[in-house]
Amino acid sequence: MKFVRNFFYLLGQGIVGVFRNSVMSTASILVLVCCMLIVGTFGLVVKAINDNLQRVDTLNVIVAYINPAATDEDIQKMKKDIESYSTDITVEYVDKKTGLERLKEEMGSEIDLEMYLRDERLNPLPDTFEINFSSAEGAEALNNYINNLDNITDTRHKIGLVEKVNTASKGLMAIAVILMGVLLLVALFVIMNTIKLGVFARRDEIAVMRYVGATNTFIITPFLIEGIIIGTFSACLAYGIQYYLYTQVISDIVRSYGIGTIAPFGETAFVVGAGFLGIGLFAGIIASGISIKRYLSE
Amino acid sequence: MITFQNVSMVYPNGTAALRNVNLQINDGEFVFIVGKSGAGKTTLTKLLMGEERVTGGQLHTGKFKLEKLSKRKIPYLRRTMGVVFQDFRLFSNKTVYENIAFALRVIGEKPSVIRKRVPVFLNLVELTDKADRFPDELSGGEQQRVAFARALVNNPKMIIADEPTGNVDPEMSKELMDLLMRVNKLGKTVIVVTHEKDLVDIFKKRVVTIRDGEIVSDRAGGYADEIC
Repeated sequence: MKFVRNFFYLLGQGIVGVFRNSVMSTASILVLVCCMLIVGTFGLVVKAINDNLQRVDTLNVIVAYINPAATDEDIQKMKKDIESYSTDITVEYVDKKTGLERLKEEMGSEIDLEMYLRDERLNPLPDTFEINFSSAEGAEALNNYINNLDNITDTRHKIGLVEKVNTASKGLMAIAVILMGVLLLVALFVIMNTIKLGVFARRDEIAVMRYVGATNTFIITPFLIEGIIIGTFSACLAYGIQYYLYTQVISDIVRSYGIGTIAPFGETAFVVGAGFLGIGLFAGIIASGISIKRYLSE
Repeated sequence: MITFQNVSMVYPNGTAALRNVNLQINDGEFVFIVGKSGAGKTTLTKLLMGEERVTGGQLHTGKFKLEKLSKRKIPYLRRTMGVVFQDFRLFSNKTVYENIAFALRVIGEKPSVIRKRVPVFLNLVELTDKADRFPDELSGGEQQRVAFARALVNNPKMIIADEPTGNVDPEMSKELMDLLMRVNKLGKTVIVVTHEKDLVDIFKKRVVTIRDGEIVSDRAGGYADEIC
């Protein structure tokens, strides 16, 4: 009961603290919101890129052309050889007839392929293996291995593109992490000063609190609550803005330029919310904790 | 009971504030601590409040052994004492009532207890009609009486008053001292740090004189003439 009584009293004091230093509290909230939005936006964009990459199946495929002189036995042996290379790959044999049908499907009415379909001997396409791999890492080595097999005349792939996109995604994420680090430091600094101002304004009060037997917990708690309120409010505000940015701005850009598809916000809402709240609480508690601890140890 | 046994206190800069002090104050005693500025009076009260720690000897107050008291327990030590300062140290943004209630709120007292106790102590210091005033609307003497009420409201065993009459007129000084005498009669130990010779002489209580960190006199009656 005593704990509950004290908690509500200290909660009230924390709220009063936020409004007492309203200018600094606002500055803290703005910096934290910027920090969260940068991380959130970069993270969501990178996720959208990765999602789109995964949907484009042809990116993770090596097409190996089989020597027309190869026998069925040779083809079976080659398939087994490729499959034994790694458990992370799947190998599909596509004979030239299937290849031509697929080409017809892809091209539609742009090219008339009926002639080749009617007479198989006229089909210019070779038999192929389509090798699907899950990760771009090691794909180059796999390609070399396939190329060196007997009866494989050539291969075709987009490994370079996958790697480039992966590098770009990683680069974007690295920039986001660096920006987040810098902004988080700025946010910590601003919140620390906000709390310090609060501590300074209340230094006489704190001194009297100590003389009448207040515990450190009693003295510290309102400042921690102040930090938590700043962090939580920032997270809520950033979440709202992020929702707007994602559903109205990013989605619009993606759609209007036909860059790809974009997942609904609901899919990542929990992660975004939890992440923002985590950043807010981390910054709020750490900054206020450091400020008041420093003061109390003086 | 308060016991100083060969207590020394040397500040980190090397200043020896107290040297080999031996002193015993029994429960319910009224003691004046007198001496010139820099003699070590304030250090002595700081040691009692756990604001500083002895660098030599032993200091016990009630069940607390201050020479090895952990920081965590200091608030509980301070709840056994009420402290009054020369500069009152009231909250300017709180009313008289709130200032007194604050001491109870800090220790997590129930609102019903706060509502019951605060008026009693407002009455004791004769400020019932000014309960809703703010400190800057009161005279120096009235502010000090609020500080007294705040020091007493927790029902401490001991009152430490550091130059309590330093900022009030002579008439009010006498009144405040009378109040301390009344508190003492209720069985509370009262320690008054002062350098006001006239006041000390009027009350004919035990007077401990400190000079250069050492107790040079401990007797009942009045201010030791040799330090004047």
